[in-house]
Amino acid sequence: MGFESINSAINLVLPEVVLIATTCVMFLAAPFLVAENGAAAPGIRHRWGALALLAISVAGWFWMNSGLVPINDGPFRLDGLSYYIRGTTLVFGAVISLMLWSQVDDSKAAECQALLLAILAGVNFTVAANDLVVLFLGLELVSIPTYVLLALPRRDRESQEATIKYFLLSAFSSAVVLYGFALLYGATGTTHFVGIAQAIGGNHSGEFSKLLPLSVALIVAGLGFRVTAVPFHFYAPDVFQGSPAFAAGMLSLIPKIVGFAALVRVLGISVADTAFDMNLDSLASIVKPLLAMLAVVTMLLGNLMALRQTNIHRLMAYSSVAHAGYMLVGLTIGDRGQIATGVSAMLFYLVAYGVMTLGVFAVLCAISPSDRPIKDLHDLNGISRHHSAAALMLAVFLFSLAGLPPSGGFLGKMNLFLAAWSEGTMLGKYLAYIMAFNAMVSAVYYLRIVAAVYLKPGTGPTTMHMSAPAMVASVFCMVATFAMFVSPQAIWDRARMKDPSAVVVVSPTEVKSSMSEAIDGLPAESPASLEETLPSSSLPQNIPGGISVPGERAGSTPSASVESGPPDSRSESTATTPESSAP
Amino acid sequence: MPGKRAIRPLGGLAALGALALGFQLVAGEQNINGAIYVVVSTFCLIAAVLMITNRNPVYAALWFAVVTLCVCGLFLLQSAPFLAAASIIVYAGAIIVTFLFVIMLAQQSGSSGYDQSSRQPLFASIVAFTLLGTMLMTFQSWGEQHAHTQVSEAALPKTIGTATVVHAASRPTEKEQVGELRGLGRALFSDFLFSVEIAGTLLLIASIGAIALAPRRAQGTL
Repeated sequence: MGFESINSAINLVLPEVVLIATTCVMFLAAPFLVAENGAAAPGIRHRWGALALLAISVAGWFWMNSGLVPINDGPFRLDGLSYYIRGTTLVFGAVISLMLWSQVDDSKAAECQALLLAILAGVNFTVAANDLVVLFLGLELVSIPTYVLLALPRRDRESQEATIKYFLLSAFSSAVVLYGFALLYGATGTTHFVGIAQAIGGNHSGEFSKLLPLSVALIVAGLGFRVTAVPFHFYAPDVFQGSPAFAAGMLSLIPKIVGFAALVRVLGISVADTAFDMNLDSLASIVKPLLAMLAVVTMLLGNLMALRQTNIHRLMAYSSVAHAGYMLVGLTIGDRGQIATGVSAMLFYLVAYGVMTLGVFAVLCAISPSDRPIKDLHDLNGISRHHSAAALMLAVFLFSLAGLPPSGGFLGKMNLFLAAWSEGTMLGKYLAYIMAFNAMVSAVYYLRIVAAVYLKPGTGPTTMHMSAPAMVASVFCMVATFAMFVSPQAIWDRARMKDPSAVVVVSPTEVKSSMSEAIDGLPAESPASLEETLPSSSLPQNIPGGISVPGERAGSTPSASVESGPPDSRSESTATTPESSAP
Repeated sequence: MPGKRAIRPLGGLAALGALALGFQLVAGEQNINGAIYVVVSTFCLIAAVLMITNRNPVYAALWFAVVTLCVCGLFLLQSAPFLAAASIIVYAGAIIVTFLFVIMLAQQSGSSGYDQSSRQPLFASIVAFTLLGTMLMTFQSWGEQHAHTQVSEAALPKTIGTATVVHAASRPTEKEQVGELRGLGRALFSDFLFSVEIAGTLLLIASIGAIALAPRRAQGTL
């Protein structure tokens, strides 16, 4: 790769640079503001929280001004998936930062906020990765700060148990993922996604190396831990139970974002080398039965176990397992689906799920007394008498989680259902049936909480204490829940922002054949011609942002007949800007 | 020491089998790299099994050192001497010592079983002879230039099945840079520059996190 692409690569990750620089500043400054005995000035957490929000806002500004970049041989890849997930991460990062605001001591606020920023940077590195090494480092940049963030706020036994369980299993899953990556490297001879796609795509006989299925299965297993797919979900209830509410909210969302982003990234490697192109030539096709099985088991077990829970954190843990199953349905469908493609439905659902789940935990953060966090279901009994606004918001989020109409959750589930239904195979239809059945089952336990909040006599906390930042977070989540139902178009367009050259119009076989010709036409063993090898068919016609990358040239292949989505409409998506979540 | 009686004959038989297989390969194909590969990888597998089956954490740590050394042997066979040296220094050196420190600090009371049975002549002989044999084989193949180039070819797959890998990223560009420090440095600080930076960030966060987690005493110092 040329020096130009390395030099220009720093321009592609400006939001992450901002986040990490702020992390370093907070790490550096925090010890000087804490007294010798470990006490900090009261109220200093407001300053750290404001600084974290400022950093997220600046990163969001850089994100909004970032453009899509054609698939290159550099270390980062900025396509529709990166753009969507990075924005999602920053917005939800701001929400989590607000939830965290009042839940940690003044003396630890700086470290906690800094670790949160590092986690956000890790998610963004993962999704922007163009190389297995960067992808793995991004995953670890999510995991390692998470361990500390789980252990730091509290020191009781429950919290320590949760941290140790999460640490051991997460390290184990990272090792499994790394093993899968190593085998993928062994099968293809390179860690670069473009190179891997070429190595697999040049295999016209359709005969994969024996290592490929094994490596992909290991990667799915390791990332299945992150998204709490069922055989790897065992940690979730215990860890959620022992964690403070903001950490449980973060654990229910951030690992899912990063896990699904990494899964789409790796499984989407295909001949056409378009990120979302989960057609028959991609790695996803190797493990499609595995994904379908994971989805079915995850949905069923998550919902059935959630029926029996009395602890709200455990219940939300199993609920997050069940929702991971719904999203795995989308991943299984992949790029097929006539009405809505599976991956775009999954990405849309990821945002809807994040809004409603973080909303539930934000309400819990807001109304929990500082000395006794709300953990049991009967703590919520009759809470509507003291906290009418919080109870209303909780009900909205739970209705949305159950998938009832005026909410983003309904639309997300409908998209997934339509994607599975319109895939055109029996597998897709069965997945849609099972999903509908599960949505019905899940309504039972969500509505049971609503009934407890509104109908049962009150036994819960009667203090009127409310944490203002967490209230802001939950109000934002409620507005977003409704906004995703009323005007989902802005987010849906982003979620569908496939590869900019829009493979929808060009059939996958055409792309494949043109790619195969492009690869065939090359003189082998000539790295200088690499830039021509890069899929010129997938270059966007007009690159917003104008970050020039060597190898960028006007495509002459099928994309000429395709209108690439006008990127100017990006500024309309005010629903996803981080500024709107700032207080 | 419940498992020790069973381990000795198992390890001895496996080692003998590996040596026999290795010598047969040497006699059959005159392929010294193949023989070394068989011996090293067999020892690696045996040591790995013993590492995860041993109930004594100290022995498990030492078996882990053996596994690391064997893997370093494999690295050498793939003509990556710097990687082998770095692995020995980091894993067989620093990490094992840290493991042993942690184990010893965790079991402060009483004397442990491995304090008495430090003398194992048979096992020591096997290991020493293996080491001697490996060194002799290495010296023997020292001057054979063709062996080196052969390994270099093996380390660089140009084709996967029928496909040709034409992408230049994450592989040395010229053949003579394989295994050299120069090629490694070039790859690390050009192609993988951002990966190195992200790894540095990761280490920073891990170390700060460890400090933040350390319990604070009432007097103020750590």
